Amino acid sequence: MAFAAGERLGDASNGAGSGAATAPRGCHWAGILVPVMLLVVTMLLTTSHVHADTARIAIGSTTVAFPSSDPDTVPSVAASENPVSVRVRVNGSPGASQLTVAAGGDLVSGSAAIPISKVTWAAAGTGFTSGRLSSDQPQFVGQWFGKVDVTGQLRFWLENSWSYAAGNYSQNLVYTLIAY
Amino acid sequence: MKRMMVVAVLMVVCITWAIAAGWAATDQQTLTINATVADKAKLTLGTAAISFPDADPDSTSSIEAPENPVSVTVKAHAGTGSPVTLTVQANGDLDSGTNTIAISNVTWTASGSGFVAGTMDTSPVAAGSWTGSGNRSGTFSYFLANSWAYLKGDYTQTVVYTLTAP
Repeated sequence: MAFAAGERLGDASNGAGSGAATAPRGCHWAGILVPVMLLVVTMLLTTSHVHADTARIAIGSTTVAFPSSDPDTVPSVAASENPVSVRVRVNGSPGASQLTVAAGGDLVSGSAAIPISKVTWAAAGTGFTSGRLSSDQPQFVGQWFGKVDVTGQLRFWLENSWSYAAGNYSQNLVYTLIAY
Repeated sequence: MKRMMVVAVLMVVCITWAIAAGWAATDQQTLTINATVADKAKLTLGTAAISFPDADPDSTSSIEAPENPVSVTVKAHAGTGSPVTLTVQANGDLDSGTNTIAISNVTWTASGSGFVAGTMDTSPVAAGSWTGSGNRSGTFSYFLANSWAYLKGDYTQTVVYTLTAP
């Protein structure tokens, strides 16, 4: 068989057909996007991720008590257990850790109440913060970064007043430690 | 193809959420606060003694103590709705040797919420009443009914104020 010069076998431009099909455009983008997303996930898992294995808080007392006092001579009543130790431990590869305290309500004795905001604490120790209790929202007690093993002290105080009705008051506080 | 992309996006979201959820560690501890407010009563008088000077009964029928008005402060911790009472009781008549002036010739007026006026007696006499805890302030002003019947002398007597917060 002889061929004329310049003529090619299988040239698509003359309709002879080359044998290769063109893929739809959507599949072309999916083929790029999926591997990219998988790569991002892999990076998150293996290189720059942080997490805390365990978070532990230990308080040196389960109760604090304010004794009855003359408001004229003791305007601010100290808790008998002051200072109360608080140990915070966070293991693993943590980022930030935060300690908060939430009051279950005011100090109550039957129908009588003393606003929980009359109770304050003074803090000592790295990362610990002083504050005033609230029945509206948790209050900030401390913050740390990275692995933590720190012990601080909290001193509790009750503002005294002749307006308080006689009684035995009580309320629970919940300390919550969160480590990311 | 669109379906493949949706599935891939969902996979990334789910994995990321799972990772984030598993990386937060928490712990909680409860601390109980107790506070005791015991029944308590505290009375303060602005002076420890009052005196009635000599005076002409015709021009001064009622002798006022120079110390008037005498401040009175009543402080109490009491149960909700519990009564708080102030009374005064004289240990006897005004005495000068064997001479006496009836203590009932001594009266007082009062100012301040809960404080009441009265006449001295050798039995307890109400001087004030309140309900529940609080810090109350008032004044007492003392008067001696004058008379030409009084014998000459220097008379004296002690009266005792009692504050009760049960």
